Formats: sequence, structure tokens, C-alpha cells
Amino acid sequence: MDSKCLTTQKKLSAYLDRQLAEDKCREIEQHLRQCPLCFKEKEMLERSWELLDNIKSESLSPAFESEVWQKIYVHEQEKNKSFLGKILNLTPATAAAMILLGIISGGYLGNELIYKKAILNNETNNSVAQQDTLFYLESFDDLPVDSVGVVLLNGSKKG
Amino acid sequence: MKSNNAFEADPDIQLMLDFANGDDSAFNQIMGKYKGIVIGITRRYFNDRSRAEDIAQEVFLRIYLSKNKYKPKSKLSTWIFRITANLCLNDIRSRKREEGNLDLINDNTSSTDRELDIIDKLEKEELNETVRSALLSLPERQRLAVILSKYDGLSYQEISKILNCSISAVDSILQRAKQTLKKQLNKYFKE
Repeated sequence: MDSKCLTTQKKLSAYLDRQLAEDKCREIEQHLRQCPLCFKEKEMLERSWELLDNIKSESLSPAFESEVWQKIYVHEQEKNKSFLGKILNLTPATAAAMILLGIISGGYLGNELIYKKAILNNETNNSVAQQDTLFYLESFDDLPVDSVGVVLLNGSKKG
Repeated sequence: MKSNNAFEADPDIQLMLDFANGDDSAFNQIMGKYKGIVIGITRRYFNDRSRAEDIAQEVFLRIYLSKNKYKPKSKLSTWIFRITANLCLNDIRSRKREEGNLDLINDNTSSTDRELDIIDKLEKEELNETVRSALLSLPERQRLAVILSKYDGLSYQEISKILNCSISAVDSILQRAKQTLKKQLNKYFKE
């Protein structure tokens, strides 16, 4: 077998599959006309390839598509279970950490709310007390008009 | 949402994008169009019919689960072939690891209802069995390349994308496969 035969036989597969450019095909065909050895090799490759036609694909099961949807459903169910399982199966350390975090958060928020309400209430009470003081001072009405007591009373009203 | 890349002309890609946008009927259309092709590959790749159907169903499960991250980078058919090829190859490899060896020839050819002479029928059955055995005896990538080339009519370029190798590698794979087939089947060549 010469080098031309070797080159041709290496390309026979692609030639038979029509994957070669036209000029390459013509070269091969020319050689095949002249070389019985390569021609026989080409015939044998062709026949063994044709024998594969005996393998038929069997018909599809009629339930194929519904079985695919069943697989999809099962997969989605398992995905959801896995997520829920992760929540419910927390380790004791993780659960304790979450509880502690909850207590701290609750305490902080509660403190903020109570403190602010107390400030608000205090301001309100002070205002009322001040008014009461003025009322009681105003009740002390047996002082003469130009007396020190009256002067003091007028001063507190302005304050 | 419209595809705005080089594969815009592929109507199947638009179907997949519609499915990604929430249209489950598009998925049914994809499955209807490709189930025959996918089972054709898996049924020839595996001797075991139920395994072939399982793998084929798995292909469509993978397509379904890909909807949120699907980005068209090739024709939809190429993408589906690639998923099929990877599942076939991975299944064989995982079974080899589990079982140590692979008993590929354990199926009986199903009987036919054709009215044939009993000897002729037996000869044909022997031939079918021998041809199937010859195909199944090929290494995984050679077997897959033969199936994609012979039964799906794919070009070397398309096969190279599916097998993730060069075109010359596909040529080399098929050359070796054909030489093996020739040696195993030469007694059936009519002179």
C-alpha cells in the first residue's frame, strides 16, 4: 500500500459521510477508479455502515410525556420538602442562637418604645404641674395689690 | 422576550424562551417535537429499553429545570443533543464504577409479526443481534458519534459541538468506529 492509498483510506470515512470538500472528493474518486484495494476498502466500510439500518428505534411508550411531567412534579415536591426540612431540622446551637437574637431584639425594641412613651408622658405631666402651681398661686388672693406677694405672683406667671 | 443573537432564526429557540417566560405549553411543544429523536439516540445507545426511556425522560427534566437560566448559545437541537449525549456518557461511566464491568449484550430481540420463513427469520434475528452487539461494543464516544451521524444525519461540525471536540477529532472517532464495525460485520457482506 503506497502513501496515496494511506491518505485515501484515512479520508474514506469523511468521504462516505459527505463531509469533504468537492476537490478532495474528486481526488479520492480518481484514486478509487485506479486502486482495487482502496475500492474494496470503501465497499466494506459502506456495507457495514448500511447494516446499521437493521437497528430500528422502537416506538415510544404512549405514557412518555406524562411520565416526564410526573418526574417534574416529584422533583418539585422534593425541592419544597428539602427547604422545609432545613427550617425544621435546625441544630440546637443554631436554634439557641436564634432564640437569643429574638430576646435581644425584643428587649431593644421594647425598651425603645417604653422609654419614648415615658418621655412623652413626663413632658405632659410637667406641663400640668406648672399649670397647677400657677392656679395655687393665683388662689392666694388675700394679698394687697402692690404687695411683695402680688409682685412675686405676677413674676411667676410671666415665667 | 425575544432572542436577539445569531440564533434568532431558530423557531425552537423562541419556543424555549416562551417556556422560560412561563408558557408551559411551549415546553410541551418542545417535548412533542424532540422526544422521538431523543429516544432514538438513547434506545440505540443502551441495550436496556427501560434505561433508555429513563434517560430520555431525564433529558426533558433537565430542559424543564433549565428554564430560569437558559441562554441561547446554539441551535436548540444542538443543545438538546448535548444534554442527551452527556446523560448517556455519564450513565455508562457511573454504571461502570458501580458494577465493574458492563454487560451490554443481555437483551433478546423482540419478535416480529412478519410472516417469514423460519430460517430466514432466524437469520435476520441473528443479523440484528450481531449488528446491535457490534454497535454496543463500541467505546462510548464512538458509539454516540455513530448514532448521531448515522441515525440523526448530523454533520461533523454539529457532532463536534455536541461532543465538545474538534471536527478532526470527530473524523478520527468515526474512522476508528467504522473500522471496528467492518471487522465485526464482514461475514455478512455479500460477495
